[in-house]
Amino acid sequence: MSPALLAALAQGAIALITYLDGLPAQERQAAIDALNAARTGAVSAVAAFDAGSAADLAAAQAELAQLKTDHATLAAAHADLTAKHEALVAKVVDAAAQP
Amino acid sequence: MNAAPEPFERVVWYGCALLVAWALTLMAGCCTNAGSSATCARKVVTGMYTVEGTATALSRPILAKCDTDAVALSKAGDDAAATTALAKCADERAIVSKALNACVAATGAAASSIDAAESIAVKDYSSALAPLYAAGVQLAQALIVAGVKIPFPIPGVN
Repeated sequence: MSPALLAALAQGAIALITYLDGLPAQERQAAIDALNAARTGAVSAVAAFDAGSAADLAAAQAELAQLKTDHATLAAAHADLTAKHEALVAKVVDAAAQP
Repeated sequence: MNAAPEPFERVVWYGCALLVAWALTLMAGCCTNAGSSATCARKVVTGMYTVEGTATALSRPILAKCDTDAVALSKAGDDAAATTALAKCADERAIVSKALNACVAATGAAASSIDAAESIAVKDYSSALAPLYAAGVQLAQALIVAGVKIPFPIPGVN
């Protein structure tokens, strides 16, 4: 076995050991990065939920208020028509009662 | 947001659960005394954050359906029932928001506790102070969200 080959093998072995030694640190850093990314995602999701659900609720409240206004308008119109109808019926009854 | 105070029992349960989670995380990190355990704990906390993010994403359509159903009552002609149902939806939204914010803050306390435990395990106590403080602040934040009144000011929290 030539000295050059021996040196290359030794360098390869050192590189492999260095790589294996560094694996826990790499794994630790990867876990830290994943944790930070997940934290950012969760915080953003909660902020989006707060804003989005508040907007949904406000839209529903506005729609409900509009519906209530529409119902009140319709009820007033209905009462007005009923009064006019009753007045007309009374006139017809009066007219029929005339000789 | 509904400003009504939480029932006392619920506040106690929130506080106890957070304290137990924080203490367990710190003890697990200290007792195992190994970097890989901290990595394992970080992966667990990452999973917790992922679950919280998913729960948050799922909560909004559920609450939106609550709103839609309440408005549908009005369309069906029952304004009083619609008003009551929408008020109930608002209460539920406040509770869900409070729970989600408290969970995220408590998970943040757990994550900081891992950093502190890792430093304590190698007897690097000065490096443990910052994450311990961060964990305490996040714990206080979670308790405040849950309705507990902290009697002293904490910078950036209350």
